[in-house]
Amino acid sequence: MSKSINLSENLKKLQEIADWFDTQEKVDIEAGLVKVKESVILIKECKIRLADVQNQFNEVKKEIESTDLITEVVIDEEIKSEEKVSSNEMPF
Amino acid sequence: MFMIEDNTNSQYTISQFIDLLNNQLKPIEVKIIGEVTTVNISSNGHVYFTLKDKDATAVLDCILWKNRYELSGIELMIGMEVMVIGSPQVYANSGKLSFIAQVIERVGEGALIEAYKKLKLKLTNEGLFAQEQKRPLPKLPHSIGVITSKHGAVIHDFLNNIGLHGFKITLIDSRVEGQEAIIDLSQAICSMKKQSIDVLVIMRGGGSLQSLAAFDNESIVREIASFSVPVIAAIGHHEDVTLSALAADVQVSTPTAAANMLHELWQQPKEQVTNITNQILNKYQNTIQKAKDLVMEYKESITGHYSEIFSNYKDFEHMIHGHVILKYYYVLTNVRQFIHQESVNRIFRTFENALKSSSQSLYSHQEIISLNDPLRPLSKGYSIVSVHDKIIKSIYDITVGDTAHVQINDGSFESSVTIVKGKK
Repeated sequence: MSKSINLSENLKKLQEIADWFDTQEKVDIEAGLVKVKESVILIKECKIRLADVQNQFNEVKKEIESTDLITEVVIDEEIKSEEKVSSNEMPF
Repeated sequence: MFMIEDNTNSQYTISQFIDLLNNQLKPIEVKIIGEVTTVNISSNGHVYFTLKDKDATAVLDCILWKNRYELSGIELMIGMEVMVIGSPQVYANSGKLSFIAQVIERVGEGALIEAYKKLKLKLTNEGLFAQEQKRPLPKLPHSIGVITSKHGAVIHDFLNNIGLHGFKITLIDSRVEGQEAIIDLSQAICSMKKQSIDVLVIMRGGGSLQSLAAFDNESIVREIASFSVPVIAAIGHHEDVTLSALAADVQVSTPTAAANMLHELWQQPKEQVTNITNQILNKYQNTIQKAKDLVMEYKESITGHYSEIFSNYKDFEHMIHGHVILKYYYVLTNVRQFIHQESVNRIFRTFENALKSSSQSLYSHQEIISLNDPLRPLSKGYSIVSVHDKIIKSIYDITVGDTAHVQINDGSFESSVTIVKGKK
């Protein structure tokens, strides 16, 4: 559910509502109520999304902090040299 | 050491017997010192030479394959005292025993020093050690090729100091001691070329000129100089720096120093990554916090605005109460007072009117009464005659002989009726 919430869009809409209130010389109580109801939904959605974002961010942080898992240097591979010289040849 | 089973019951062909001999001879690897008495280099580069004891007549035919000869870095000459390492072998086509030398080196410290100086000069003149030939180490090497002996402290020192940077380390075990190491080192370098590595580290501890001879070998030096990726030489010194170390892109004296160098390459970027990571995490946390603050700000702003409406309405209500209601109350009170006053006035007025009317009516009635006062005509000379208190209005009300009471304006008198007459 919270993934479908677009935080930026919601914040933009909240900004518009806040601006609307700012620009009203005399706020109409009915129109104001509609805006307030809309803002309550937007704020609730924002809070849900922000909590989700915060959780995801905390998990990412934990993951980053736990990446240094190397505790010991080891030889990953030991290979044998290839024989370059064949001594079976007798050039007499 | 040289043992052939009692096979007298078996029959061999010459080839089979020579094979039998060679199988027995091959494991006999020995080190022989002698003086070169003959040298013959064939057209295909193989070297045939004879060694002889310095103070004896014993001789040994030797063979040095072309690539081994090239690896040795020696220019074999008659009279040169050399040490060879190898094993005997019988060549079937001639039935002749030869010593197959795997390694050859000049004998004597003086000879080695001379060879070292000569080769150093030659390679210096070629520009093999020139600084401008040196390649920088990769910024963040990941795959590290290591050529050293896996036995001993060197590899452990290296691994203990390289740091936990997720290196992929590929090791090729090689002998690093003496001339015998030349072949191992050469093969190891050749094999390492096929590996996908970012940097090659060649290591061994310090030692004598002789023990480090492989690292002064021309072939090894050239392979290091031309290696496909930068080479770190962590080779201990003899009196001089080995030629391999001079040819390497970076030379350090110990495996720990080589490990530290690789560690340092990662340390700084690692710190940078940590700083950048912290920056990103902090900035993003701030972004989240700002969004949270913004939401709260909007919440407060919008609810504040809406609360203001109620507040305004309350003010309005107060205003209504304070002004309109009070005024209305005042008006009402006035009205009440007015109504009250008006009622009283109306009552008075009504009463007055009624009084007036009554008075007028009274007057009127008084007038009427006055006008109709039966005594009023008396003043004009009329009189009222009554008999037995009954006013006489007709002749039939009286009879002769009655005593009539006659009332006049200013008194009355009694009169006796003597005649009664009617109108005509």
